[in-house]
Amino acid sequence: MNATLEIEKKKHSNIMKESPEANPKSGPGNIVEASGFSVYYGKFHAVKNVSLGLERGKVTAIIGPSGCGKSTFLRCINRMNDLVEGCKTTGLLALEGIDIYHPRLDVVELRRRVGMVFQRPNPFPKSIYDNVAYGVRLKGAIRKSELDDIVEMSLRRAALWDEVKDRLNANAIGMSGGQQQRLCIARALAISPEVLLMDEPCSALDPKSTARIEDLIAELAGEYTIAIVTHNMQQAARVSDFTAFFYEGNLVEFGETKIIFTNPKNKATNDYITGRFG
Amino acid sequence: MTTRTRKLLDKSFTAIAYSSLALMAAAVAVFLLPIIINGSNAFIFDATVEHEKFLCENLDYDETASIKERVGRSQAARAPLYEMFNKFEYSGLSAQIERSINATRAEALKKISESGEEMSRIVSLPREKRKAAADAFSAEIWKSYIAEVDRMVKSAHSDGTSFSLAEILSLQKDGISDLCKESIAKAGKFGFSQRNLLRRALTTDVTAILTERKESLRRENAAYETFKRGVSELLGPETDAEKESLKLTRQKYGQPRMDLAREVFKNSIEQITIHDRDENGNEISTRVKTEEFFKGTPVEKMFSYIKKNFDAMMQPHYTVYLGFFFDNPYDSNIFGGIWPMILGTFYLTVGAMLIAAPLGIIAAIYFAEYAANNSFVSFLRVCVGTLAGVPSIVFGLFGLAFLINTLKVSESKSVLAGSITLALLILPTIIRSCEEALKSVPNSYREAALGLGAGKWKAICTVILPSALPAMLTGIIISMGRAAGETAPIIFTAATSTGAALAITEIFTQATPALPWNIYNICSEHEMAERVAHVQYGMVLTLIAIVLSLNFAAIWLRARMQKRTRV
Ligand SMILES: Nc1ncnc2c1ncn2[C@@H]1O[C@H](COP(=O)(O)OP(=O)(O)OP(=O)(O)O)[C@@H](O)[C@H]1O
Ligand SMILES: [Mg+2]
Repeated sequence: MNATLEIEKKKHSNIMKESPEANPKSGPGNIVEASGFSVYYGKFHAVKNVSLGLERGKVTAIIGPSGCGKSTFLRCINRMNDLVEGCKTTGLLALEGIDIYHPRLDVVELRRRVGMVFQRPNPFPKSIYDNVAYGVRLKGAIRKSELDDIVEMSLRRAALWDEVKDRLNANAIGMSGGQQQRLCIARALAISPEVLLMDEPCSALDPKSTARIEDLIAELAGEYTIAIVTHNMQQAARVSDFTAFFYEGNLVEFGETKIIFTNPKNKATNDYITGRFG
Repeated sequence: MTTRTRKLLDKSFTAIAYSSLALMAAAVAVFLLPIIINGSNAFIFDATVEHEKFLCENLDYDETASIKERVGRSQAARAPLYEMFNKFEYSGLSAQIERSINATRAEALKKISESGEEMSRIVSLPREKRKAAADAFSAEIWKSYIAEVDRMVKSAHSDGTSFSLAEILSLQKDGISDLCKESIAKAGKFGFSQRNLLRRALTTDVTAILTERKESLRRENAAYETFKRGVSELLGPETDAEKESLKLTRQKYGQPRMDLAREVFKNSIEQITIHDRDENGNEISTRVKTEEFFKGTPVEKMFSYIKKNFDAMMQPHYTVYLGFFFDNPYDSNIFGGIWPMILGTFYLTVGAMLIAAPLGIIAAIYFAEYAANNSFVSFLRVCVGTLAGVPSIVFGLFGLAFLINTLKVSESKSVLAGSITLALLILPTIIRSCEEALKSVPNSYREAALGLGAGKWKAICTVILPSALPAMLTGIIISMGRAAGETAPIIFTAATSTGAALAITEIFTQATPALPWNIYNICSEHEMAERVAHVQYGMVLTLIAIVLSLNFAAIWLRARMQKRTRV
């Protein structure tokens, strides 16, 4: 941890903040690290004192009943909750040792490193090409051929290239829901983030599209660190390496997926994954 | 609820919706149809030859062969009328007439100077018999003179020459008393009172008769002048020399439109106003029918000639005068088109838009994307709301007091000052509609853009503004329509009732005519408002067309852009 911190300190000297206390769960492999992290919507305490780490290159599933704060937690990792008025956080949330909520942190830079795919596909009303190129262009001027390559690669990765290669200039709004969601993934991949946050990416999709996206997640794992919120237990079991179970804002249980699904320590976890509530 | 009642309800709602739509359409039609019909009458109308004469002489229209032919035909038809006028006013015969009357007068006077005995007898009669005898004597003396005068008047009337008669009779009347005095003196020696008595007896009646004849001729002449003015209002001046001497365009040409020509015929030719004095000497004016008033005089013939050859003199033909929109007005809009007003409206509207749209969009972006929920922002919002509720005349006064008198953006009224005032007027509406448009952009677009590493400003420029653009443009274009139609703000700041079309460089310093103001002006301030009714309607139609086409453009634009951005 300290070694990483040193390196990061040189790169982002002004936005660094050393984590005040060592997190018991943190290891050198964790790219995102939460410790004692709480989120409030006004007076409402939505995420309560959560400590957990996302291991680099692994897929972490976040599960739990509706309204337990999964999305809230996920959106905090790239500070999407800044858009929500009255949203406050306490505790520490760090990306590679950098405090995400440090006042001088460059949010734009953070969001380039932590991409997000939302529950409902939200492509821009622009062409498919422009959608994928959007984030890349924001980084600065780039040669057309280079941009073409990035767009193609991203679309290939999102398993969409073959379907859209002939109509890159068509409006993205005209695509099917599953295609749109894969386009959103491609769009997020185009700026090559380190962490990819996915909030119920398949909830609006049919089984076939869902399967494709699950395949995609499996492919991306290793290269990207992925956090995925899902209500689908099978999906969580299939795609993730680690699973976090949230309940009423608390992190109830966190561990390897195999263990959580076969031998949960907590009774609530057991009840939830076996479908007894939620 | 059963399915049947639900269906019934559904159907009745549909019916209500459709019928209210139909009602609205009908209301619009009732309102718009007269304007469209009367307004198109401004440029599609039954024109006379005078219309073309005006265009060719003032606006460099081509004088085509058919126009030449029509002008020729109308001149041929008018020639006999002018002939009659000239004859009526011909005074070459007056010396001859005077001589002939004077000859009978001399006879009568001679008779007086030879009737010394008769007159001595009359003056020596007792008082009660004297009067009758004197009157009989006088009547006998003047009988043939009066007969000659009447004969002359009659023959002049049938001849068509009568204008100078009144003057001749007036001279006769003035001279008669002195002449009688001389003749009485020649007749014999009478005492002072006897002389006076005789003179009175001999002149009273004949003077009265002459006065009466003269007055009637004078009235006739005055009425003829009125009638002739009516004719020249209809036909324009007779000769080029006469035309040169006239100042106003309306005097230089006859009626350019058949509807106006008929109106003039009805009001100034078929009936005329004559001025008279009642017994107390007060002036009174009465309307008389030309045909009856001039019965037996040459004017009666003139009138029936005009009535019969009306079309030949005016040469009516349907014409489409598109120059109505592109020509300058002449003589307070009585001739020409409304181009300066259209151009002025265009300048004011576009100017207001160029000022208000950027400001409004920036303010809306601030309100929708940046403003926090604090009391300062609420205060700003209240300000914008209040601004929207301020009566437009107040904006006009503000423009005058602040922009012109205090800031001195221009010496006096100018397009610039008007545009700024209009911009302030529509700014609240633009801010609101743009803010609504921005707020209706789905939050997911914002999240997506920010999630991809866009800064707030970048996200606004690249995603939010483009998505909000159709709705924003709609709001802006509708505000533009409002600006085009506003009158009150430009009264004090930009509008002038007459003036030429402005060049683009003059907009910073010059006032301009503009449709809304000129509509008011031409309807209520114009000295001949009824003669420019077609222009009034034409202007209203043009303004409505501008505003409606802006609104339709907004609808079309929104439909088009929505097709592009939505599924
Ligand atoms: N913008 C907000 N303002 C106030 N409260 C909020 C806001 N967003 C979420 N909450 C509250 O925070 C709690 C957690 O919400 P969150 O969206 O994180 O739930 P979730 O676990 O994602 O649920 P789901 O599975 O239904 O998506 C909920 O009780 C919700 O009512
Ligand atoms: Mg959620």
